[in-house]
Amino acid sequence: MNLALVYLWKEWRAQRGILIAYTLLILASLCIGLSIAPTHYWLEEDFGVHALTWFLTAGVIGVVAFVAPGLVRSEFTAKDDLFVRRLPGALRPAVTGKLLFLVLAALLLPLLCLWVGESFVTWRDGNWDRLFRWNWAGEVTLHWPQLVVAGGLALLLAPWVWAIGTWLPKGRMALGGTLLFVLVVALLVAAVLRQSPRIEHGIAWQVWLWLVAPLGLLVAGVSFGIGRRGGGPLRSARLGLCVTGLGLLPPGAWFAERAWSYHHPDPQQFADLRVTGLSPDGRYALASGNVLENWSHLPFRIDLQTGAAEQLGGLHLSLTPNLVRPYEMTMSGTQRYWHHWDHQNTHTVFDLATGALTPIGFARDTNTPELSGPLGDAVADEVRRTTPFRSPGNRPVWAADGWLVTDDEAGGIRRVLEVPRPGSVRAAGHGVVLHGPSHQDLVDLATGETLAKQIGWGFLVRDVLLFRGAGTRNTVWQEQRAGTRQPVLALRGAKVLGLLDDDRVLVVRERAVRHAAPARLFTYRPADGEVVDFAVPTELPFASVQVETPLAQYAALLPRDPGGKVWLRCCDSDAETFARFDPATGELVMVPATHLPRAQSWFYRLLAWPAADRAVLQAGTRIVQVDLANGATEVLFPRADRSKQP
Amino acid sequence: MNQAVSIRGLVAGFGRRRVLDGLDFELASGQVTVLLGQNGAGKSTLLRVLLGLLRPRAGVVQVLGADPLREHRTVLQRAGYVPDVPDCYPWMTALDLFRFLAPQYASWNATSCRELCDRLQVPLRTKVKSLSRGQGMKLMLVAALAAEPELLLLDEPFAGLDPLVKEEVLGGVLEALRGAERTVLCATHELDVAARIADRVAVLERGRIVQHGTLAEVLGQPEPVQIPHGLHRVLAASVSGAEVLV
Repeated sequence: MNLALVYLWKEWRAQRGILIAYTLLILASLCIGLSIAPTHYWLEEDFGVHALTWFLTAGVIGVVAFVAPGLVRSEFTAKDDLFVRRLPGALRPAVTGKLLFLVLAALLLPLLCLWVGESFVTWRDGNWDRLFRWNWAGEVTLHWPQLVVAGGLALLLAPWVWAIGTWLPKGRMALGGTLLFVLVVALLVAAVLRQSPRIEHGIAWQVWLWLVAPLGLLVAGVSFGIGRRGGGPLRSARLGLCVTGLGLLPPGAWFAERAWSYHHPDPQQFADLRVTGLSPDGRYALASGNVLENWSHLPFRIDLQTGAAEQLGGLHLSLTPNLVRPYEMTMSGTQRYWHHWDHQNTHTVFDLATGALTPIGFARDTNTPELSGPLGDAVADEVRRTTPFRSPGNRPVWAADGWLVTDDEAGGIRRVLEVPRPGSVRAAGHGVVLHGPSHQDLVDLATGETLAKQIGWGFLVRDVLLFRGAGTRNTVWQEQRAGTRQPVLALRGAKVLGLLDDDRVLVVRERAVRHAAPARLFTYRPADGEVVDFAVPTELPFASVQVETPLAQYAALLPRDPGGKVWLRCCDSDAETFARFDPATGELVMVPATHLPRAQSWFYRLLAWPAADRAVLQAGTRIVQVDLANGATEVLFPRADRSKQP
Repeated sequence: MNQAVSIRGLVAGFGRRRVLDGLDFELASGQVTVLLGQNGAGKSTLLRVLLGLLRPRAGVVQVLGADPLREHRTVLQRAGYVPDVPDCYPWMTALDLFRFLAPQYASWNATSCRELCDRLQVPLRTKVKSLSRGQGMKLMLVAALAAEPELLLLDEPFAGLDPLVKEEVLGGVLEALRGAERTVLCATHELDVAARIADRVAVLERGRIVQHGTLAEVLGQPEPVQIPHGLHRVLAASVSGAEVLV
């Protein structure tokens, strides 16, 4: 230890001249500069904080740009650094002495500059109150400006300046070498970050910052203490790079493992699951998932019969339902054919039922896929079968060649209306709302006639338009084709859920409305104003009620399960549950096993009705099948027998 | 006779350049050996290998019975070195240097150090960077001798010195040799110096020792074709004190 102190003294003697000169010069310059600088708004505001920042940064620069390179440069004398190398056993104590000097300088120089800065600010009657904040628990939080944070990071790199200085001839260009080294490491990291957006969220990369300075010290110690024995900078560089490689191996391996998990998530360990599609037979689910929150989701095809999940591609793969639902603003659906394309603009049709990919053309000018042959016929057939649009008489209206079309009486196809491009269509009873670049019109699907322009919410029941006028949030108006317009008192404060059949709408009055009106579920027939009430069980949370359909697919007529029941999602501030409404009996009952407290981080989502007595639900990261008779739940995904975890 | 230095098949160099190429050499204890060779012959490289400052590519090197690389500290405790130019920290004074070196050598003799400084008139309070070349070399000689080394390695210590200073430094060397059982290896290309101090002479050329023996033996041998032309004539003249033009 005595020899280490000797070398500490030697280091101080070697560097004191330049350090004292730098410190005096920079502090004097800062004092004078900040005194005479024009007080622009940014400087006048928080002058004390700005001043302290500059003083502290000056201290950090002193350590990084003078002390650390000086640890190597000070050994070079007449023509080499042979002197210290030819002293008996001097390399190890020299390293210890230099380490001590670097640590002392890294502590004392910024503190000295900070102290001078505080004195200066006090002398200028300034304050640095906004530098820190404390809460009632007595915790004080410092809010250093970014410059100081960057300075702190630079301080972590000071040992690397020393280490890399030992690799270079005569210890020159240590700062430049360090910058180059940091740039190379940063480029490698940036390459992974670029390929894996948001990977840095959710992984504790900050922990590895603690490795930077100790590893730098270790590399410097090995480069100088061992590398200089029997060799020069080249040997130091070889040894130092070996140690650097070994030191960076754990964080590198950790980062690579994280990146691998990012791009190849284990389906059994999903942190988030988004089910976007289901094959018509209900066996295969199209889903995307990740193993950490905030990470990008990657597409999978899940076999719900076996629980097996197959990754379909990487980050840049897109699977959309627009082949079958070209004008709907939706990303999900129960359908077989999906539009599949990647970042190389390779367009294919993905068959969810078989997993097959079939290449197709793509018209860039109209931005539409080009289908032909049997595949085109199959897709067209699916478009017609799954269309959500209906005109009175349950006549389907579907999309074809930029138009919404329907069957005509002669057995042909009749065009109803052209869909604007870009544009989308949303079902609104027996009509649709056309969303165009600058308009939002409600169109009658029976006639193709535009009934209302720039409509917010509207609903067509045969030829009666229900809508809310501007500024009448709680009042629903009804307008006949003849032009008479009147408020519907029965619907005041109520929410129209959708068409129960061609004549009636299902309406709900939620429990949370003003005046604490009782919760109601009823049907309303616009033609004659008939209202039929149904009993709402008191145990049902009824503060907010919505229609629940498989994969949130809404249609002209409210979708019903194979038993003919309409599903509702009912919730209040405490709980959430599904309920089934049977229009035939007027009975509203809670769906077993779907009652959840609102504090739960996930909620149930209806995926399919495979049979009258069963439903497939998404429950957080699981897909389950519920027996509607007794509430028994079977997990379809992930299966315990496929899990890698015990 | 014990061997202070033993080298077999030494290969050393810088980058792709081989400076020492299969060198074999033995240095007897208690003798002064002068290593002769032209500039660039590899004299300094050989001394660096002996001090463990340069890692050989091949060969076996033993210095005072130890491997200079593996037993670095042991060898450097027992071997003193005088470089061709003063190479200690320029901001140091002689006193700083002695204070710095004393704790690093177990055998450091402060009394001897003082006496040598007095005898060689080394300025004690002047920074090394302000010393003349001769003063600097005398300081290096004192620093090497104060540790009382068993083996003294001199790397062209007289090069570039004016005649008077050279005589002073040479006097210091001769004084240090007198009465001490010290092994000395002095690398030089100054033949007159070699003639005055050498018990034995070794001639280094193209990475190998081409002649090795006492002065008389070397002079008695036929002159190898690869060594500097007229070496024997210059050595003989130096021994007799005659002036010779090489």
